Amino acid sequence: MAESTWIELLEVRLPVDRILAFVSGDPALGGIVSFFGATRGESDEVHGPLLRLEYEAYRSMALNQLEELTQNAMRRWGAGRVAILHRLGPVGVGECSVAIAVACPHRAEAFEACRWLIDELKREVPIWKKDVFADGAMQWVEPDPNEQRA
Amino acid sequence: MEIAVLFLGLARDLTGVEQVSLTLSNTSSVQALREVISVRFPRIKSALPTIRFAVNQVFVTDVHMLQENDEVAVIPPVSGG
Repeated sequence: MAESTWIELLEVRLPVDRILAFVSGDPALGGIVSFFGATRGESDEVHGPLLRLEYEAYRSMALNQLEELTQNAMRRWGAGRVAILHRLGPVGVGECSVAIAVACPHRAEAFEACRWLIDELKREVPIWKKDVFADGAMQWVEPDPNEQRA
Repeated sequence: MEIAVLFLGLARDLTGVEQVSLTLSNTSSVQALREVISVRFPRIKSALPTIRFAVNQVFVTDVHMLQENDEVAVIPPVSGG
C-alpha cells in the first residue's frame, strides 16, 4: 500500500504539485480538498510594510501533534490520504507557509477534515511566527481567536 | 530534583535563555514550576497567564506532577498557519 500520510516541517518553498499528487490517485478517494495559507501583505503605522514572517517550532512536539491530528482525521472522516506541510524560517509576503491536503471518499468529509486540521494546527501545534517589518522591527504575532489569519 | 526547562518563542525572548536546569522539591506540580520561573525570570511574569506547559511533549495542566528527567517546555500562545 502507498504511504498514506506526509507530515513535514521544512525550510524551503512548499512543493505544491507534489502535495496534490500525493493525495490523488486512490480510486476509493473521490473528494480531495486542499488549503494553502500564505503571508498577507500588511502595513504597520509605525514600522511600515511587512516584509516577511519568521516561523519557528518546537519541532519534536509539533511533529507528534501533527501526526496525532492526522490520525484523528483518518478515523473521524475516513481520510485515506493526508498531507500537512509547514514552513519554518523566513516566509516572504505572498508565499505559502502551510499546506493541508486531504482525500476522503466524498467531498463533504474532505472539506470538514481539512477545515478541522487547519483550525487545530493553529490552536494546538507549537509553531510561532514573528512579523518582520521594513524598518527592521520584529514582533511575535499575537494569535487572535476571532481573526482568520492564515 | 533537577528539571530541564525549554523556553520557546516569546518565552525565550523574555527569559533570554533557551534551556535551563531548575532545582525543585521532589513533589512539585507545574503550578510550583510556574512560581519558580516567575521568581527567577521576572520579565516573563506578565506573560505567564497565557503560557502553557508541555511535559514530554504533551500539554499538561497546572496540577500535573513533575518527575525527575521530565522534558518541560514553556509554550507561549501558538501562531502557526
